[in-house]
Amino acid sequence: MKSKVYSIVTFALYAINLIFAQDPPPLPDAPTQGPINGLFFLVIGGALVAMKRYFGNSK
Amino acid sequence: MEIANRLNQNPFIGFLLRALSFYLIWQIIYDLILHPDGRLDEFLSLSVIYISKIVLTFLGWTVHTYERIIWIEGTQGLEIVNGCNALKLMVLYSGFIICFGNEFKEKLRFLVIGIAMIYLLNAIRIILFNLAILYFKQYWDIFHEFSPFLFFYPFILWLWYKWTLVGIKNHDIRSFYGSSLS
Repeated sequence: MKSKVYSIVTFALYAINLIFAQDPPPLPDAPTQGPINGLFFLVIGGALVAMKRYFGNSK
Repeated sequence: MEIANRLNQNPFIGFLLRALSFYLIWQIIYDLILHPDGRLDEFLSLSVIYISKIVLTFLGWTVHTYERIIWIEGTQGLEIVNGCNALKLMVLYSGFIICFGNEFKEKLRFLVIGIAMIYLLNAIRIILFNLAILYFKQYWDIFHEFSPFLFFYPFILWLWYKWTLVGIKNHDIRSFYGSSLS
């Protein structure tokens, strides 16, 4: 009988814990600054430089 | 044969294809080998921090470092993550030099000088970041956002432009590619 009460109490505690478990505290946001940006513009610039040489200087 | 003829007619497309292949191969090597290994990124980040610390200490500031974080006493830290160590820029720069032109010795010279200069500019950038946090913290976001346009891009574009002028011995670029592809 005693062990049955212990089992019920243990299960009840476990169930209550499970039901009322809180979400973990929010993690910090990602840093506002990322790595070196604007590489796209550099790529476009490089393509233009190459184009100038290929098309601007061909006779 | 058809592809060769098309490239012959339009060497610019050939250059784009070579560049694309170069960056794809690089990305695969980086993702599969260099990034998991981590030593290259680690070296670039830590050495830049080391140089920045030496310079700032020499100029009179009290500087602390912890792994990849550097800070002047009394300010928040600045972390040099993988994306901030200029490796991508070095590869981007190298890709253009390797894929364009045929002058091997000059190519090597441009590669060494260019990569060294990008590394040095990144060290200067990190030094100025630390000073910006110390003195102009309210403008930090703007400074960080536009720093590549200030430090790297004009220099790299200038070097690329110079390379297009000296990288190909044969001044008639179309005839060079025409002869090499046919």
